[in-house]
Amino acid sequence: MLDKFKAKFVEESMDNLQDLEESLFLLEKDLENKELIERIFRAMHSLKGGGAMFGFNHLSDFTHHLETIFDWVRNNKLAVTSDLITLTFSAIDHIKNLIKTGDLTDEQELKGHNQFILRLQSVLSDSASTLSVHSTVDSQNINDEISESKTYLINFIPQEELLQNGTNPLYLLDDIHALGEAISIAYTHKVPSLELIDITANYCLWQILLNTSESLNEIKDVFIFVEDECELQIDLIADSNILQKPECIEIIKKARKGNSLLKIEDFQSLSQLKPSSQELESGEEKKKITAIKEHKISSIRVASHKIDELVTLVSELVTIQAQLSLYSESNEDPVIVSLSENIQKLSRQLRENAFDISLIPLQSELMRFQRLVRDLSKDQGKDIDFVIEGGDLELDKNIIEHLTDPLLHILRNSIDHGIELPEERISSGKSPKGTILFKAFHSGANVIIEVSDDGKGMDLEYIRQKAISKEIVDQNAVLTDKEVLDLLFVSGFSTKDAVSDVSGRGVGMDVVRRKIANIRGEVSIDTEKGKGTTITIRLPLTLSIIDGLLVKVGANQYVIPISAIDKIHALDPSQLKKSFNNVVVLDKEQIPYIDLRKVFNAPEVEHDVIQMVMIKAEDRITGVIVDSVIGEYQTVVKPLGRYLKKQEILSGATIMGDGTLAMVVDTSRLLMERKSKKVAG
Amino acid sequence: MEDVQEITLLSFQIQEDTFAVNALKVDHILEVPENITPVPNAPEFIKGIINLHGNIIPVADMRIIMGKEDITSNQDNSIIVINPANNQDSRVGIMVDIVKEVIETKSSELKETVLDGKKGLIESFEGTLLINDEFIHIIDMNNLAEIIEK
Repeated sequence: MLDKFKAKFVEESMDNLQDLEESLFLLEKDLENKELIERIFRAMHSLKGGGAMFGFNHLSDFTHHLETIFDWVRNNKLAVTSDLITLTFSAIDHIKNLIKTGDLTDEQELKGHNQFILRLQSVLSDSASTLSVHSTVDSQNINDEISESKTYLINFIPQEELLQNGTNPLYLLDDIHALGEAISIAYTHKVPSLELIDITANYCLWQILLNTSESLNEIKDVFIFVEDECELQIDLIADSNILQKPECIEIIKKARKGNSLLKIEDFQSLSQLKPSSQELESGEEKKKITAIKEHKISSIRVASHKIDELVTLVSELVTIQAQLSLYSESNEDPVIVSLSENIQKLSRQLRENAFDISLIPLQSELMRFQRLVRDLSKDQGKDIDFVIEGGDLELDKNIIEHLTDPLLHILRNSIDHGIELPEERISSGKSPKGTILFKAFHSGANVIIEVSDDGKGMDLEYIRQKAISKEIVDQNAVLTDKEVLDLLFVSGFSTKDAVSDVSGRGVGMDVVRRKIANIRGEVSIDTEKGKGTTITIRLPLTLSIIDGLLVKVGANQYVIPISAIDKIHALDPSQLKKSFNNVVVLDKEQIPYIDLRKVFNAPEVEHDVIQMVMIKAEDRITGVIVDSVIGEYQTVVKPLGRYLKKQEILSGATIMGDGTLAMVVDTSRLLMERKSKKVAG
Repeated sequence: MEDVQEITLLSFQIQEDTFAVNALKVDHILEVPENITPVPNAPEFIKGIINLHGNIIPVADMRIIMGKEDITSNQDNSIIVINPANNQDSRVGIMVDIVKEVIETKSSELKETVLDGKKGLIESFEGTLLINDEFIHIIDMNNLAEIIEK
């Protein structure tokens, strides 16, 4: 049971950390944004509290020190510097580690942990000694704090469910009383009559008059863990201690007797405050609370395997539905036909819905990219602006999982090889700050992701020379620019001479292309020397359902993804016979072709008309000869599993309406194998 | 004393030899369907793929894996769907001459399997059991899975 809660804590903490990182990035751009500092503080506070609750003691202890720093920051005792942000980033990494491993046992790690805490503490002691410097800047605020105590009216109206989370509101009241002099009034008028009472519900609400010299934030913090479960309003009612004034005591007495809530106006005669500004703030506070509430019900957390299961079930339903329509077509019972049509409609909607659920926004991975760009550019002394467009674009989670590594690699390349050092950039007439633009958008049934930098671009001649020296191409070969860039995808080709820590560890664009190809995507490069490089990734929207063209080769049926098909040609057999070198002439163009019957070892039958499916990949058209074309078919692609993963030309199989199987052809793999001459044309 | 464990085995025959697999890792026993879809360019022992309740399962012919030459089929032939790693991905059907029986025994009864020739592809067995003067060789499923994967 506890493990379950622990797992939940870990999951939530990861969210908190993500929020933390996100806020830090924003804070870096806007060092004085109070709201962000507040968000950071809250995230840390939840981490600390949760950590202590679930036995992550080191985590809790560590976060406490970090939280103290940000407590100083939000109280204007400490200024945000880029050093502080860097320190916080590395602290977040440490926290991630602590969440993953739990409390540290390894002595070496423990030592590092303690040293880190000392570093955090030194931030505070350093700043304490230089506080006088800040105090002139922030004198206004500090004066506020030093000034006399103030009196607040706190409305604490918990929801009925408050007790279910194990919160004891009386402890909260104790905490409030600890802040200064306080008088609390409990209202019980909402308690129902005995037969209606739900013993697990909370029916009480409280008003507290508090006189304290602590800041408003300090009061709010008392309620930090219950802010979602209650309505909280804190109003300043007087600039001095009014609790002992007879008028005040009278007001409280009246409220206790009559069960009527205190209003700020009740205290107007006692305070010297102009209420206008305070009302404004409390209004804002209210808005914030409602915003949080709305957010809470707008999404739920579901384990990803449950979604996988849903998608599998829906896929099965689609298959069964296909069987049903097959049956209803052959059996001309009008009732069955109309039922089958209705089921078809429903299952299509259900399918779309289920796949929509399995989409997650790209945003979730972007944080890692931002971190990478930030950390690497700092390491290398480069100044890089990382711009993201279309981060809210949604993709199949299976695609996103496989996309992260290639994208990280591409970004590393851009930072490592693309963007120049500031001096270099100035001397070539560019702004010292480089830009990497990450852009994601829809294009038809595809998603395009572009990573472009305004760095030095690639030297085509250099690539060519390198390829010649590595004997990848012949010295006399005449290559177009595009063909030269294609060399980058050849295995074992890396342009950076020295192996750096960052990229060039023998893993190059060939791996990127292969990984992207695994999720049925394509990669292309555009570059201009001196201006920059753009890498474009084209991806399918979802992995598991595709529109396919059903063809027959030998006795087997195969599915070719429609997205890869340009058109279908019917050829005269003589057209093939005339051609040599496996090229067919169509519309005065020479088009290479692959005979699938040879690839799949099927007997070659003579046909009156040869069906050639034209496949488009990387701007090139290749013909694929099949025995016959059956038609369009919506396909639920199932993996062939680990035992058949050597069959690279086949990306999966699908179950036809009649229960038989058809295999799905991976066209880009087919073309690639052809290039490497493994496949005879 | 060594730890004695109860084991449950499913035995099957491949021509004159009797083999067995851990029954707890058997998902299904099927008749050989008419339409096994052959996979082009796959190793010889892969008969093809079948549709099992909406999932794609590869089928390997144990007779070829065991190095038998005569592989004529008859109606007693069956497919045992095994699941060595307990996940969808590791399910594979093995085609055998005939499925025999479920055997309950103890791990202490097992003797080391004598591996002589190099006829079959299997490299390791979990042991051999002697019941009624008949030797039953227990197949190491993980080894079998590795062979099929290669």
